[in-house]
Amino acid sequence: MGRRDGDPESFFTRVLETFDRNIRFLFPLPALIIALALFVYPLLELFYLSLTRWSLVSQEPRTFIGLTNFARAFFQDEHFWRAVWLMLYFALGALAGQFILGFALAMMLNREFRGESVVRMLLLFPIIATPVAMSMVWAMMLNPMMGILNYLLAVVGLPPSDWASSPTAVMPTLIMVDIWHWTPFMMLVLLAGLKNLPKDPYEAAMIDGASRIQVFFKITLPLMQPYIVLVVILRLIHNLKVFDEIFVISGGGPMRASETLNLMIYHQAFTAMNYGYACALGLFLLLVILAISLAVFRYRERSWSY
Amino acid sequence: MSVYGLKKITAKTFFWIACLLSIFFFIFPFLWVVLMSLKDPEAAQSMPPKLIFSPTFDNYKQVFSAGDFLNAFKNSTVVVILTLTANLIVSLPAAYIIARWRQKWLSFTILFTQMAPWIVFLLPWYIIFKRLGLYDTYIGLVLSNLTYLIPFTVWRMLGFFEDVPKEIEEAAWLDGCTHTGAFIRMVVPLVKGGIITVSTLAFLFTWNIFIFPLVLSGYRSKTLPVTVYNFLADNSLDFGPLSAAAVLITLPVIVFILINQKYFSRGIALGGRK
Repeated sequence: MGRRDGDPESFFTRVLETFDRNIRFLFPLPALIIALALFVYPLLELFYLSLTRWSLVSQEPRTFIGLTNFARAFFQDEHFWRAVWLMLYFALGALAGQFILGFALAMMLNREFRGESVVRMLLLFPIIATPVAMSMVWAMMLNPMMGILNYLLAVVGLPPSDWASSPTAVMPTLIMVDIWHWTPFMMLVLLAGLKNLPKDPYEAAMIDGASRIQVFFKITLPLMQPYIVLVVILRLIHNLKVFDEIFVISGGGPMRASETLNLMIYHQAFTAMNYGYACALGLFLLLVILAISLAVFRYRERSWSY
Repeated sequence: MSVYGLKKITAKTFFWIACLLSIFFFIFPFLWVVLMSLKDPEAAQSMPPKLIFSPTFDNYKQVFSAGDFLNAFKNSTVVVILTLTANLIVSLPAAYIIARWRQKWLSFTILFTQMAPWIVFLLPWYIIFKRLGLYDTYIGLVLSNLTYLIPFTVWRMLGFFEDVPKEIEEAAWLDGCTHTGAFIRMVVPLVKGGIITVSTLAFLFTWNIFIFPLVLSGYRSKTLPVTVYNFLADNSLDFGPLSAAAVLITLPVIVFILINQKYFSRGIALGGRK
């Protein structure tokens, strides 16, 4: 055979052949490299930084201070536990609102009617619109002096509110905005579930003369359980991460009344220039989320094979 | 009989009132912002709000003349195109291989990357990107987007790849086709629906994402959400131009999703597979 090792064509072909024989390892390689470079390595860096004191901008070296940042968060910083609480309060408050409203809407729309597709299309709008833009729109509508919401309150004869400018009203206000933003998503998933439910149990219940409330609690809710669990988990995860809306509408204020842990980390890192401290807070948040993921994952494994 | 008919009509009326009220609640901010964007400063500030006014496009002109906006539009477009392309090139082969050798640890990894709070990862990324010169570059933004999109895409594509019968590849191999060739020419065309669904959601995510460019982009590569946020921070009481900016940034996604509505609804209908 006339094939020599130096022959560029055969060399090229051989490389291609080797590649082709090993696609099992080579195909996932880029994804794996990106995961290692952007998840695993940064975690090590995060861990190291959380043990240092460093102000980000200055040329000062990073001072290794051990677990001091964690001690500061757990025992000294008064805002830390409040930030954790605000994060949970926001996530669970919004979740409750989204679920109740979303389920009610799904029940209502679970029928055939003219204009069904238009209604569904309009309900997509809050989900797809750019969150920063919609947060800005809400910020304008919520403006205590010039916003339309206080005008609408006055029209119905209610006293005006300071909305996001009031330390007491800011959290309910932000939760309301998040409910506006994500209820349609909840509704769409639950509606898809309702449409897939079997018809027989309902017919049997009608013959037995069950009341509507009985039907809802004894048939609809149990049958819907997998959909409910799925969408509640999805929303809970998302609600814990919410940053844009709070950042744009209240910026964590007034007087840190809406500074959730996410916002606190951002402010400590880029405003207060406590980078090491921010990393310690970040590591804590990561462990909390990891614990929740593990719990969810084990539950999911038990409840349905995904 | 007539009582029954009356009851039916009442139920129907009640349904439509409830329906319209809820639509009004969810659509109101959109109507309001479009109206605001067309008002001159005087009309924008008047209370009670004017419903009838002579519309003006001054606000839009002002947004465009602010200079930043066009540049940000270009940045957003470039980042979206690069991200979507890179996402498919990296994720499809990985998803294909994983679909043939399914792993449990993978589902946990993916679940976790979807849960991961971005702000936490942004802290080390910011330092690393600055060190590597990736800060304020398109590549940096694309990489940050990919960390979310690759796990998401792999997860969504698994089901589509599993539905492709193995016989199709085997037949191609027998015909002398390479593994790579069979994948590109036979398998990928069969999962086109999945690719469109995933890319539609990826477009939505990439266009809307705020926190990555907020931290990782500076003057050069600033995308639209950050630019619009800066407008708000600079002049929070100029309702007209702010509204115009909000309309301009949201319009492309709304148009795009409405065109691809079928794929979008399928994509979110079940957060899990397909």
